[in-house]
Amino acid sequence: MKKILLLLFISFQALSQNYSIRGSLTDTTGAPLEFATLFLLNPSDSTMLTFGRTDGQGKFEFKGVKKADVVLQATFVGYLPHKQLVKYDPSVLSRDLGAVRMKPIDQELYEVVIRTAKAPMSFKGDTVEYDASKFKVPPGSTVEDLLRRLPGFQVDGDGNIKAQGENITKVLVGGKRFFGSDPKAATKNLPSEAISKVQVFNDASEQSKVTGVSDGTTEKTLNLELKDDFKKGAFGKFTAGAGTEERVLAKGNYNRFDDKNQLSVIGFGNNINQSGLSNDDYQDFRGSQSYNWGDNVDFGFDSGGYMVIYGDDNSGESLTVPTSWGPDRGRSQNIAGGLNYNFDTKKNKISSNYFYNKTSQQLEQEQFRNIFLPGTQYNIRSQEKYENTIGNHRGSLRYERELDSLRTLIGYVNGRLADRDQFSDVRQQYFNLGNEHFRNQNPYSTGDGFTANMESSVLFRNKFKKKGRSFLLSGTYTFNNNNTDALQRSDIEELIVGGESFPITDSAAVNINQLAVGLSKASVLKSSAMYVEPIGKKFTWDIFANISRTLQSIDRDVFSPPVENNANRNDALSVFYDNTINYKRVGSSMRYAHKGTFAMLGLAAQGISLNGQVLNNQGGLERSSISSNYPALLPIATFRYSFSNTSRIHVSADIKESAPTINQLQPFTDNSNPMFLTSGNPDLKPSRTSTVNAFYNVYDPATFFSIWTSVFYRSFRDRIVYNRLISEDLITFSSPENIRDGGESVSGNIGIGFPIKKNKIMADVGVNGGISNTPLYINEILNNNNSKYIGANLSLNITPVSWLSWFISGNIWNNYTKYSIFTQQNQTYQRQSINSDLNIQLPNKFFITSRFNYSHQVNDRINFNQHLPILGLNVYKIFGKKNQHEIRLSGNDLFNRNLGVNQSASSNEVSYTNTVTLSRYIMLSYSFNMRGMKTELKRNRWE
Amino acid sequence: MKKILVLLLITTALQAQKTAGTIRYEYAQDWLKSIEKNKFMNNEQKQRALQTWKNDEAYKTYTQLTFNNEGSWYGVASDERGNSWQKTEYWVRRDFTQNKVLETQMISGKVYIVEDSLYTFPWKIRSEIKEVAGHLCMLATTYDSLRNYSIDAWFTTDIPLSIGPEEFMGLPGAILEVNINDGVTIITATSVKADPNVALPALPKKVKGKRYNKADYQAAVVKYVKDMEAARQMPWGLRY
Repeated sequence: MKKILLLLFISFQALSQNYSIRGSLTDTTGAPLEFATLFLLNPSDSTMLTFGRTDGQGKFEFKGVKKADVVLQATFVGYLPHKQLVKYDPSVLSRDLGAVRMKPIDQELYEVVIRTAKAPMSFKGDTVEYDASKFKVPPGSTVEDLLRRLPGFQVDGDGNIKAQGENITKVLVGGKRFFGSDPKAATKNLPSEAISKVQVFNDASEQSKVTGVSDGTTEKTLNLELKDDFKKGAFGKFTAGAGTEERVLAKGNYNRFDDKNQLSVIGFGNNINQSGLSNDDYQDFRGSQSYNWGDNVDFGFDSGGYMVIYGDDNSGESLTVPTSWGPDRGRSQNIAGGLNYNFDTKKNKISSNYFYNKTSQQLEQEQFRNIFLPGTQYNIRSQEKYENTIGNHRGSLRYERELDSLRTLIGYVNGRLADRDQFSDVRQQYFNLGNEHFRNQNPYSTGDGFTANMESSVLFRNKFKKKGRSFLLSGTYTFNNNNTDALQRSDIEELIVGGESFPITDSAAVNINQLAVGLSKASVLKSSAMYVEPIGKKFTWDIFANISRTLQSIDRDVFSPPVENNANRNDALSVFYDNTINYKRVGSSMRYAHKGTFAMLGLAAQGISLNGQVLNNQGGLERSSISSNYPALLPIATFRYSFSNTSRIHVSADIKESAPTINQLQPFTDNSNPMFLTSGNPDLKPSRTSTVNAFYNVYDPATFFSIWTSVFYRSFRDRIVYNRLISEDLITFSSPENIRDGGESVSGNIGIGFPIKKNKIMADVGVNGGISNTPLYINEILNNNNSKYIGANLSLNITPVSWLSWFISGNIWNNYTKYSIFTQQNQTYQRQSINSDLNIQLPNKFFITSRFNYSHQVNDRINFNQHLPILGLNVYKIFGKKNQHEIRLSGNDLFNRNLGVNQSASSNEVSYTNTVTLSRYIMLSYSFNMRGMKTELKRNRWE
Repeated sequence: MKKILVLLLITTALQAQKTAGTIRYEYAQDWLKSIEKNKFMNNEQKQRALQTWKNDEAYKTYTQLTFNNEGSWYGVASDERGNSWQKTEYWVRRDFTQNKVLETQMISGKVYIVEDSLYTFPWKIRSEIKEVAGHLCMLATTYDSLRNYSIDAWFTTDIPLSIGPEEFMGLPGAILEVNINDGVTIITATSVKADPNVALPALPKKVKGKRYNKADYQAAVVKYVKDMEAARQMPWGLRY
């Protein structure tokens, strides 16, 4: 800034010298041009020294001009800007330039370029240049087609070009000759989309400037400037690796794109537990259609009422291309491949993709469970083997059309077809309080299933001329069909012991050998509408309506012995159930936003009605039916206040009511483990959750200091909990039921981020804690399960030099669990962990990275004490001119200690599970990346 | 400094043209272009962002410049909806008679009240014309050497006052369009209304907070941009 001021000061100093330039401005006929603007410019760089205007007679005078050469530039509407060098002559301190004549711009050219096409026009002497991209031609047109539309141009049938009445004899592209001397070669072949500017000039005059000698001939020349960034390209990546323990990995993707089209293919296969795409690979695959956040079809504030239909095959699979956050548990083999195509213009956006993936996961785990009953307790130790294979075909199609500048229509379909195979073999040993082994049980099952899942929506958005007003309308149809066949077996062996043995009363019920065939169907038809109206500058009012109808049916047949015929059908376990849930809601909210304050108040009237019937068989006798309505008035309030632009508080409160899920409603007993029976409950009511949330945060961009705090409170009414009934022989029956006073929970955290040394050492510290209370019935006695936790974390982000980065963090977490009816079972679970992520760059693009996690978990009540040190080490070298190649040697879990460990305390039990997980292996891999590898170690807090 | 500006005003105010009124601007920021230009992402990360977000439209808001012979006020357009995130709004008040400027600038929300003499960039005059909001404009360019931005300003001599949006002024006419950093930020006039009786919005009675001069504020911007670059983050929260 100082420099600028100085410069102006200099020019001002110059003004005080006594040198003046005057003259008059006329057109080519000699008529004066009044009130035209004139500049004096520095000849070397056109910097403005001063400016002035002509008077009513077209006269101008600059007084006190700097005693040096200056450029006089005169401008007047409709005339070519006139530039002339005014040499400083110390003997002439009062310089009179006389009449300065300005030439008019070709009127047609001027009108068309400036007024019609709104394109900038620039001048170099007599050369007129303009932005050709403002002249619209159909896609695929050549430069010749473009020239026909440009003012001042004529193109005859043979492609000969005339500009301003003269024949074009030379065509340049980017100032250079284009393939020989035929001027038509460029104009006939180049696509018009590639051209940014069109220039016409007399080449001889240009040449004579250089040589200073005019050869007398002029060549009318056309120059076409190309767009610098004619966006078109391709990129791809490929990696292959092999390692010890028969570990292999291959993955690749390839993309081609231009400004409208994106085409990508992707594929991978591995046995190192990577079953989904990384976020980066997902974005490369889906391109501009990675995230369509505007596709929400449920309008109005969230009051929890919607039935959510999941895949319902317990696979947790999404309808769209899966991404995964980290390696899976156990061991898995994965293959996948897909194709995606996007077409995007302003008016039309079309996207389609197909993706197939198949994952086989093997889980081998040992579990310890300590289960307590009023008066006694027992333990179960089990060795478990599971194998799950799932193959998913996914497809999607989306079309978005801008009907006009205010209205948009979107339609999409996502679908999934999946094949599943599952196997489980669980060997359980029961121990009594005296640690006597009194029972063996072996539930075993094999099964397969098929899922067809589809979701389709139409969404219409209408904005209006009035800013902030809008109307939204949507319609959605979803269906999910799922069938399963499972062969289920369980054998019980009772052992004679001195202490408690909980003898089996009905051995036929616990020794099973059956075939369970299930077919479940669910479909949802729903529609939403919303209207938003701004009121004044500060208020916005909206009104919305949602309706949905969910139809569900379950047809389950259990055959014992496991052969599918009527004689073998177990009527007690077989059932046909169908159910309809109608949901209606109307609501409205008012919002206020002004100078950092936001407030919202809303109210919705909601009705959920459940109608269901339970039959012996499809078309058979009715066992029971249910028909009920649950009307509710649900409020919401949010308030946010900014203390300054960098600190604010947010408080919100709402009440939500949610319908039970199909799994919670299904009225049959699942006896696949006859010692642990589960059943849905068709009499469930919707549950209601009241929430209060508060946040406070501060961020100082100058120091990078930040504080984030939050408190979250929830209370539950008619909460759906899984009550347990445990019989004398330890058969446990678990079923969901509503508990009117369903407990509450509160949690909070404080986090502070600050630099110890700015951009070298960043620190984050935080504490968090919470209390929750879950009531549930154990053998019809109310137990309050009270859980408290407190945790603290510290992390440092150390990046002192460009070749070293170290991210280190430590966490401690203590969890206290109390049971109101089993006070002697109250317990403490503790976990401490350290994570270190150290990256070093050596000369010659050699890199060493290490990741070390150490965790220690303790629960003295069940003698659980687990140390897990996991170390991973990578050495890699990037090479090639464009850093496109990488050779990597990676060591995974070098101490060979990896284990999936899970500890939990809930209802009337505490357990831990250790899962055998992919452990030590060394892998050598090669990668090729067309776009080049990342050679920088530094990353931001979210990378 | 003072003298030259007074001189500029005298030369430009000679003709009874549009010397009071309101100019409405569209302020558009193309965040993809700024990602393309950042220094810390590699080619792959940039291209990924460009491919993923190519359908995103530039962020747009509306501002207005109210002006007369004595001064100008630039800030959020009077019909813009309330902002629930910012307590303090951005505005620039210039007083030509006292040669003063008072601005509430912000760096990622942190407010800097800048008070200084009127200042301008050294403009270079180009031979290029186009029409903006019905006025024929000429091109002037400059370069912000602090942040390495090219700045293109289109000004019209139809409004013969040295006024303009944001930090820009000092040309023989009102600046109707500014293109900063090759299109990352484009401020374009959408309408120009002459109103001889226009009143400049009153300043808040007292503008609270520490006062900075222009050089201190610009040093804070440069420091913030460098710090964010070192932290591998985009320097969001600046006007451009």
